[in-house]
Amino acid sequence: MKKITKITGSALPMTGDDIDTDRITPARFLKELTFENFGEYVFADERSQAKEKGESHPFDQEQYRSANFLIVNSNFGCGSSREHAAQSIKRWGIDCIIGESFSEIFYNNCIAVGVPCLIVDNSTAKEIQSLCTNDPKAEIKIDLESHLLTVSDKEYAYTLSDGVKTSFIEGAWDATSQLLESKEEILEKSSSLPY
Amino acid sequence: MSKTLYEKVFEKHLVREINPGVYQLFIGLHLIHEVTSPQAFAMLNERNLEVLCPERTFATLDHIIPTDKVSRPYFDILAEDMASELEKNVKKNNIRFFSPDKGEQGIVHIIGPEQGLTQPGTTICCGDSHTSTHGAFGAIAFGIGTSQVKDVLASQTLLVNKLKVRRIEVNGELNKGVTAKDVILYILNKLGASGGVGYAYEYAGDVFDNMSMEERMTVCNMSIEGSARCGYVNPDQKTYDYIKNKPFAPKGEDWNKRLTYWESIKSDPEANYDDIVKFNASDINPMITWGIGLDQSVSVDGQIPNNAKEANMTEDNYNMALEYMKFKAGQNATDIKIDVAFIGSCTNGRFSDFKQVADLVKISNLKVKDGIKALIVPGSQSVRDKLVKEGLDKLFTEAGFEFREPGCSMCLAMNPDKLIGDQVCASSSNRNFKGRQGSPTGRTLIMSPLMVAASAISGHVSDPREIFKM
Repeated sequence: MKKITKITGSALPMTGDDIDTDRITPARFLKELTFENFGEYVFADERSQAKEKGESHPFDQEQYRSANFLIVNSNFGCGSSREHAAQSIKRWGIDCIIGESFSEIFYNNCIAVGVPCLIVDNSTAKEIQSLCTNDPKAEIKIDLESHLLTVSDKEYAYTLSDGVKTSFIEGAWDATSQLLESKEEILEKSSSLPY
Repeated sequence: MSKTLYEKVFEKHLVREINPGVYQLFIGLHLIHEVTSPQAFAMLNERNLEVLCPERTFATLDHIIPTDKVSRPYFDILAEDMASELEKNVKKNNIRFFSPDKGEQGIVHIIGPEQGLTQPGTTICCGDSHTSTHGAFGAIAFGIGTSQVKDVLASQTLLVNKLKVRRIEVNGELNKGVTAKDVILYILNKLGASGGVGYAYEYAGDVFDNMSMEERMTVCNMSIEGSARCGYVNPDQKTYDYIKNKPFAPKGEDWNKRLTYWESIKSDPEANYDDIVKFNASDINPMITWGIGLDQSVSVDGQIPNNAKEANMTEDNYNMALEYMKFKAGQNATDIKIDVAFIGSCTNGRFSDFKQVADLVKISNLKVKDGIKALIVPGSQSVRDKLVKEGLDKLFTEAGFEFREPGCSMCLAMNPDKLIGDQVCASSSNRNFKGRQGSPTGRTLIMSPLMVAASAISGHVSDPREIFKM
């Protein structure tokens, strides 16, 4: 798989705690048998509701159209396990998500689709959100190998577990081949279990 | 060394540590359904991989299945495509399919226990977040995404991190009319929608000891709504009695061997927990959610919180919830009028959920208020058959409920059962998220089946203790 070490670009701020995957990708879109079109469905209902009110959802605002980072608050991606949510975000154009905390199933789905989720503290998330609100072109960079996150050249601390970091920088974030390396042990484990 | 059930089961299923803190865990039971599996099978095909242990995967059809006209082909072409795709995949890969034709179909989290597949000390995965339900049997059970469904199909293992364990004790005796649903809604209210990130929840104490297996399933089901990846209750005699004689339960000599294993994986009395919280059963009243998160709830005799502080929410989230639900700050919960009532789902779609309601409806001789659409959707064909056998289908129909075929139905409305416009639904399901029940502006109030029935009868949110004179 592709090695993921450095990402550079600009960011889209999406504020609010507990943004669930039903909001990110409403269930009625889940009837498609492939993920191909999911980039169009990200926050579909909220975007059309904003339009009806004459407002514009962050995912529709021109200044963020080229953003490849998403900055969120706490418990992002909670609720349903649908990978469609991670797929929608990635296919819309997001390469990396930075937030206060993530729901675990969503977090794992992001790894599976090759989108690192970096955890920052509450004040950092808010500061970056306000920075890219004021300047949507503000340059944001991450370097997973040297553990660096900068926004407009200012450095911020973040957390990414060593294990997950390794899988991205070694290009081993697609787990299947790694898991199948131990096929014999797996089959042994299967027969050793009491069920 | 003393250990929790989580630690013991984790160690038992550990294949190896791949990277620091990243473990390869063996999955003993894999459940699949039509919505999150087709892309996983496509990924396998693309890579020319086979299902490694087809005997450990079981399939059902639940999310898209209609609950009125179930003859094939389904009216919804996309639903028909999903169903055929699943049928094709299970056939090709020799996977046991609990199909509607055989009378074994049902919601994935209802049929696992029903078939005796869900057992203590197992690891269980499914491409569905409510897999936590199976924790009621002392299993480590959690939801996964589609790429991980592919991983389990290909390798019967997953990459996981280790969770912390929080013991949640509820002691004392529950008040009359307070159900398992109210207990979990109360816990979610106290610990918050994100309080469980990084944790497995272990439910313990008098209240869970006294619960039936079906009640324990209701509680474990909603662990994920507090963002705990899984939740479990240590197994006991009730657990074993429930499993005994089920189709996939161990038989004969195997039963005793298995029982020894089940007893061995219980949390030790001296086990260390990362956190312990305690609640008093007597503080819990019938609960109802008023917002768009599962921790946004009040007791049925309460009011919509007056402000963000009272609701223990951020200003933005409080305003968003109030605006979406179109409620007034401070209004009585019981003043909320409802349009639709739904009893069903993997949270409350089991026999005892319907039986309890039926008994009260029968004694009180009350009927659903005119103009209210009230659905009874059994969680499985077997639950439905049992209800019909006891004549409860007639009882419900005569009381003004629609008695439907089994499926996930209006819990997430991927089938034709949907709210229209901004209808308010009193629902026994598990999620009140924006747009959850099929209309982008639909409004969901999560509550116990008893309260759904009471509200369907009165036409507004009602305390079941009053309506049914409990």
